[in-house]
Amino acid sequence: MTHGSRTGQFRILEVVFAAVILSSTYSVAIFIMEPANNPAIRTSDDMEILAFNVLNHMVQGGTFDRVTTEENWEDGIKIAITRLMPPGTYFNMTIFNATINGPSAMLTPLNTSPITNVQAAEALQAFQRSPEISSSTLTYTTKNGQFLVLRIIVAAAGGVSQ
Amino acid sequence: MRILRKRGAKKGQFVILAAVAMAFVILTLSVQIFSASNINQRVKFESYKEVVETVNSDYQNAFAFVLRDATRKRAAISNESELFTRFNEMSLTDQLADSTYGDKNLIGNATIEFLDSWAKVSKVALAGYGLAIDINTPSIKINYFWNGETANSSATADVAFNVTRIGLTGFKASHALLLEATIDSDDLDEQWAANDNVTNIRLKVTGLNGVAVNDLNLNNFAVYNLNSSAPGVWKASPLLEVVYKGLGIYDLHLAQHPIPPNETRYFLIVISDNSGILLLVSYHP
Repeated sequence: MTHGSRTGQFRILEVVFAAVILSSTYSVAIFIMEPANNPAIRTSDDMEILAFNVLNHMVQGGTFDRVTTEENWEDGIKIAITRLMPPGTYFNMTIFNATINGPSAMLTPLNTSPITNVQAAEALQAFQRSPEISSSTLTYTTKNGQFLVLRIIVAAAGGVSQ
Repeated sequence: MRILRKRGAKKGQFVILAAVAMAFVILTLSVQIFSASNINQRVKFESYKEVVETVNSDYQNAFAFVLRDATRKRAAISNESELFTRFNEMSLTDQLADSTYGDKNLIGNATIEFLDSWAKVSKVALAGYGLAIDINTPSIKINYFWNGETANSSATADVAFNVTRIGLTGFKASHALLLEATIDSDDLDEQWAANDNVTNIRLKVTGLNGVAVNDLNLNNFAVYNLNSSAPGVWKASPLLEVVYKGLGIYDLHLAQHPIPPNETRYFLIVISDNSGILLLVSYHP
């Protein structure tokens, strides 16, 4: 009886142990299929769509018509992008003024201060460590006939605090 | 008993081994599913369509600027601050004319040059896509007639985009812009006949295909009278309010009436829509 009950207890323990292995496997599998840092962003394609959508949304809203006409316009655009971005995403935007130079066009950066949500000291590290990084470019003609080229780089956060 | 214990222990080991094997299968499958879905997404998303659509949308911006710029150049307004304030310096013939700008005059050339510049900038900015842009037959018409009730400013052009990198060719779009205003001359005539005075000018403002323009207010209009003591010189007639009546119809209530005796009843109405396109219309009741 004693040996039989011990055997039964071991069997129960073995089944429990097997159940623990299976449930932990499921947990790991789910973790693999969905990155823990941001469930909304999974691939660089998603990042590219995100970057494109952010630019397109701002263009449709006429945000860039106020570029250079307001003081600290870079800060206004930075706030607008921050609101559009999902949490855990870094961005860095550059606005170029395009002028015609002979048969081609010349692009000159228009923003004097960086339009980004990463501190300058951490910027390089933040974008280098990011598991997913992508960019998008659009052109926009303002109501004053100014040609702007908008370029944004977006990256999933990874390792550096915002 | 020993044999039974050994058999029980072996069974327990088999359960654990089976669990480990299942865990291995689940992990392998999950990694494979993740990779497959990742590859599928990469194949699925190509941004060429979006790029062409946004370039086409930006062409509309450039096109609107061209008409805005041409109408202001025709009225000899060089900047925003001059709008609504400089007509008293202009002669009748300068203000009221019928003009068509193709590719053989200063404004027409400037228009084509601007659109060419836009195409160059787009190609440079989106060089990775191998974008080719072909703009066809851009034309601008600015019609305002002396004492003619109706005036319009319009522009048309076709554009074609090819994304040579992936062989996407033949994306074509037609663009057209129109701002038109018509004074209700019957209403003016009735006011004049009934009261020997005009207190209100009613006009209709429409866009392309007769669609009502419904977003104008006091800031979009200015009214001028001719000064009879100084022939050919317009004098601003302040507006009290602008009331939108629906279907593109606006009532412009004049602040000053009866009209002072030294001013004629020729009205010049300057309209600037919210995209900045300028329109001049005049009428004599």
